[in-house]
Amino acid sequence: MTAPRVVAMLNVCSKTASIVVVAIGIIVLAGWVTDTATLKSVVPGYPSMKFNTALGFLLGGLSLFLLLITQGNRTAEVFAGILAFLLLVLGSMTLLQYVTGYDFGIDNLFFTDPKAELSVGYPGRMAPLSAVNFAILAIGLLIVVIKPGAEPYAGVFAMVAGFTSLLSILGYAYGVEVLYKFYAYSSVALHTAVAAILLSLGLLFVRPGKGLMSVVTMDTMGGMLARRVLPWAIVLPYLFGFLCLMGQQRGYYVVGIAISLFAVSTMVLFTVIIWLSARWLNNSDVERNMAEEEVHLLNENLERRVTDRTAELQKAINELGREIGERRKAEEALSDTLEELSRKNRTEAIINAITGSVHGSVDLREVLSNAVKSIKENMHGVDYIGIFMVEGGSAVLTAYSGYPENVYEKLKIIPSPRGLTWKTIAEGKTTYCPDAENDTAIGPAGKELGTKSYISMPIRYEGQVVGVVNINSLTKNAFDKEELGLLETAAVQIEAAVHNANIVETLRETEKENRSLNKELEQRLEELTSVNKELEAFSYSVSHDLRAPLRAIDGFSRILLEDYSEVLDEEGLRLFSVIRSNTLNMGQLIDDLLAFSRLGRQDVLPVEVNIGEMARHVFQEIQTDKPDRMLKFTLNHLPSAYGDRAMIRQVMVNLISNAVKFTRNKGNEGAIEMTGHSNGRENVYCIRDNGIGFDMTYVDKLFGVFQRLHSQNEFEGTGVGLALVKRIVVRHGGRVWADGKVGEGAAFYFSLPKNEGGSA
Amino acid sequence: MTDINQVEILLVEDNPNDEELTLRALRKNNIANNVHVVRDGAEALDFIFASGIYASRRVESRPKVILLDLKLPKVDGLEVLKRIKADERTSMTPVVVLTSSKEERDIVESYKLGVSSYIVKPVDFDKFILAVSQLGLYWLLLNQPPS
Repeated sequence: MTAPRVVAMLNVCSKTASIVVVAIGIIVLAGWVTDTATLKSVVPGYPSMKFNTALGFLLGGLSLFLLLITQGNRTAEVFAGILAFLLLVLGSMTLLQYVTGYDFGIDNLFFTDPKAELSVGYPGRMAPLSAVNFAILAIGLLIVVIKPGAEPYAGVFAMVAGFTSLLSILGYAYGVEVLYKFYAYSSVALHTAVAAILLSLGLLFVRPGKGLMSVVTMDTMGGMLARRVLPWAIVLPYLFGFLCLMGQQRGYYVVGIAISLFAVSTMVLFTVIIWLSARWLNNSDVERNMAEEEVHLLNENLERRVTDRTAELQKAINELGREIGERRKAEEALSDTLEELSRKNRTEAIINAITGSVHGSVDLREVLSNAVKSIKENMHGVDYIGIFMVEGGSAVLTAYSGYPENVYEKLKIIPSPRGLTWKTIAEGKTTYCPDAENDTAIGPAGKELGTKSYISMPIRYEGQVVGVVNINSLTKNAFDKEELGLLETAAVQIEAAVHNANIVETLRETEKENRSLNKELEQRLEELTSVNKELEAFSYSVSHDLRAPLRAIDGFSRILLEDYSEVLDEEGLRLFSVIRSNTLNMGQLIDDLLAFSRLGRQDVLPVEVNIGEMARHVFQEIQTDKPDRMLKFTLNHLPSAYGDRAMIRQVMVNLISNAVKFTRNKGNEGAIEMTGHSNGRENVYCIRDNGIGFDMTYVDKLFGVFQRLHSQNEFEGTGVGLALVKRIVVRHGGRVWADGKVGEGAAFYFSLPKNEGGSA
Repeated sequence: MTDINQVEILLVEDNPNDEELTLRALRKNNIANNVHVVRDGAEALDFIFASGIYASRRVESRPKVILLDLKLPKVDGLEVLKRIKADERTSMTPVVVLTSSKEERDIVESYKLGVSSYIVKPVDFDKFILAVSQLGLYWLLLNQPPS
């Protein structure tokens, strides 16, 4: 540990020293250039600092300064190293000159002393001691630069140079020339010695935390002692030495006495210093002891307080323990109430889970799964649970929890009447076995599960057992009365769910049935449509192909008559006419049938029809066809009809032509009358004749297809006309009826709905 | 056999009885000379458009009238009518449908396709003879076709 304050101070001192050294170098160089004696020698007559020496200080000072201000900056350090190297070259070459007697010419390389001839020895050459010091300092500086961590060696070099220079200074101080002047060579100038010491000190403290001086800078007793004693150890002997020498030189005493005085004073001095130091150390020691004693006391005090506090705490804990005990008692009292509550909660949870899923789902499997889950969660001791539903002769595992794969395989479907499940189904009552160890009812699967106690409970639906809930536990006496009660609640809910699911199932089946019925209907409709189409194709064929042979029969019999009439007798001609009349009849029948069948397919396009006008036209046409008949046709005022024009016309044609036909017996007395009136929501029309009439016994047959009340000989006809009338009227939403009396005539009625709201 | 380029009436009829009756009716009016009979729709088209066995015929020598039955083997009468009316070389040739069908939709469809007349063959031979005679006379003598 270094004392930071000391380090900082030493750093500032070193920097100052380096700056002073550089300054000295520059000043002396300036002195040489300007030839100022004061700058060269300080005191007139004293030896001067040589130009090279000044240059050396400049190099060394700058190098040191760089090392001080740029710690860690390698470039600057390298530069400092170069400067130190130059210094080394300067010092060592000068020294080499002294040793070899050879002149390299470096002394006056940069500057030539004009008064050099006056000097002795080698003019302009620095003192040998300076050269040695330079070399030593330069090596020290280089060590710092090149080998970090080797600062102690640099310190040794610094001390050597420092003490050598100190010797020179002592020489000046004590007036001993030999100490600064080595033989006849140039002497060490005073300021050279001072600068050398400063440079040495700077080097010594260049890295105060490391090196030799770390002993001094440490923040320990040793460091402090060194800092206290060291300055005196240097300054006082020097002072005493000087004083003793002065006394001897002034003749107060001889050399022997001077040395004795110096020795005694030094002894006294060191004795005093050591005594003072010892006292200071003792004091420090005593203080430390006292401080330790105090710390000890404090510790003891603290310990005592901790003990006291612990005791207090123990007491508090004891009190708390008692309190907790009391609380616990209170809690126990409360827990009875809570247990009651929790039981209620559990019951409610099971009911909620099951009823919730009953409402949420109609799928029995899902409801039972939820029931299983809820029972497992809310009932204690439930390790395995399975709900089996009876389906035919088997109990099918519908929902379960916990069964391992192999057991599930065994329980999936239990055929009647196996095991505990079927026992419960047969007996219809709940079995609770608290200790299954020697139980005989439980099956191999239950044993495999490691059942120690179990419940097997029936599920009823409409008085019948429809399923079983089996619960197995791995502990004996797993279920108390409370758990069993909980299970009863669950069972009621499950039964409700089964009930619901059954209703839903029935509904589903009904729906399915409906759907299949609908499908069937659709299929029927499709069939009908295709049949209808076939029918259409059929009638089309009839229309086309049935007529062609008839035409051929008629045509070729006519050709026969035309071409071979002369070979036929009367009977032959009559037979041909029979053939022809039958063919024509057949043709008519085909046309009527086609018209009749076409009606079923044709769309009704209702419009407003002036039915009186229509009746008149139809009558006129028929009259034109039968010019031999004179008939009385009376047309009263008729409400206009609303219907398909072509169809209504067909009705009029059929009814009026019927009337004309059946009044034939009356000759020219025949009369036809048409009346009509509006009746509420429909118009009723009537066509009455005074013809042969009909027997009301057969009124029901009148409007049927192919129904005829007369023979073909009496009245020709196909039996389709009235059927067609009925079909048209009915398709319009109206009715047809008739009344008549044999020999007195007939009346045919038909009604047509009025046009209401624009629709038929 | 008539020169196929001199045909005045093209009778399209598959029923030989009807064909005979028709020809007899025409003969009675002395207009059966330039009648050509084809017996199905395909042959009718070949004749009209001068293809197949009628390749030597000129399309431009149009008959004065085509009597067309609707129910025909191979190609239906309505289809034949449609093809005649769709081709501008033949569209101006009068086509008369002569059929047993009284079906409304056949009538409507024929007129939609541009038939000149629609005649239902009567079962009654007298009426049939009358109808065919009038038909022949009308189209061959009275009607003025574009030249």
